[in-house]
Amino acid sequence: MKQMTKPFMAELQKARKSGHPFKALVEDGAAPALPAPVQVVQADNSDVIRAIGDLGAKLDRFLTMDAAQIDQIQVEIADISGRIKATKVEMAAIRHPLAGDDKFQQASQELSAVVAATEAATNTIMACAEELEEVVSELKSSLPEGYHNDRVNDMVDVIVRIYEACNFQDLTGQRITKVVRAMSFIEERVDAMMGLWNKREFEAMPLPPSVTKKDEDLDLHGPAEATPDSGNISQADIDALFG
Amino acid sequence: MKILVVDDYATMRRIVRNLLTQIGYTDIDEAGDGVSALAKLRESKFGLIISDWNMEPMTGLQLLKEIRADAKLAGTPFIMVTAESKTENVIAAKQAGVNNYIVKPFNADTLKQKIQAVIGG
Repeated sequence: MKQMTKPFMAELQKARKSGHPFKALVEDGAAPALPAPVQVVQADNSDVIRAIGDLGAKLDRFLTMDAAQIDQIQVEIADISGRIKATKVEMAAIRHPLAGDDKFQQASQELSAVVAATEAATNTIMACAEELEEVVSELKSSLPEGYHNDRVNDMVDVIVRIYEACNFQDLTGQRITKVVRAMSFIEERVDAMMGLWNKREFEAMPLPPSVTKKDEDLDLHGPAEATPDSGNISQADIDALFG
Repeated sequence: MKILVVDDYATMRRIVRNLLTQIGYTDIDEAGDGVSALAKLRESKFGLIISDWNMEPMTGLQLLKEIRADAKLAGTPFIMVTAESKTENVIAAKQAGVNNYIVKPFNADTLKQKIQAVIGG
């Protein structure tokens, strides 16, 4: 049986443009055959339908899984964001740009004051011991050998023990210096961390709570120097207030 | 015998001076750091140096090394009195030529023993 050549779309378009209707050629060059009568083809497409169904199910599963993952990522991003914010709040609590007091500076000043105070106290103790030593030396030279002279010698031993005990001042001073250095290191690290973010962000954060001890509405600051700008007054000024 | 006490803490110099006096040494001079100690050592003769380690600008160890490198001062006995008690520190001081080593806090007896061990007597 002779087969008719099936026209391509390009051939049909060309024929349409030229005004000559397309005529299909029979393969062996014979005269064109009459159009084939329309035939109803009965085909089993159940396999195709099943395949499409399977594909749809797979697509549904894929879309469902992807959405769950996206949700999970969103949750994690929200969590990270929350943690960053909490960290910033903590950093602001340590070193808030608008806080009136610098906690690191404050602590460092307090420790320096401790060193100065212990040094002053040690010097006073030493001076007293030196005075005692003079008195004891005088007494010793004026006393005859015997019980009283022995007791004066015991006093000399006690004075030596006072000198030895004063060693503590140098050691506490060195230990406090180490603490101040460690604090200075932490301060630098906090500054560096804050420098990684926009400093203005920290200004918007809540001010840290005061660490000052309170008695009702009054702040209890503890020992402090009586300087004009510190707000502390001397005993003389207090006496003047009581007239 | 003249003793040079070197420490950046005036209070500590005072303590050492008083303890030295108590144990019988009265000819004492003081310096607040390694540099001024070295200047004093080059001005007059000292029979013993008692020095702290942790000082600025010249530490006790640097002072010791300077002394040991100086032909005129190299033979001066040197006792380190310091809070530094790590083994490596003590070894470093020994290698640099320290004659004895006292860890703070110390007492008059320890000071007396170490001085006697270094200078004899």
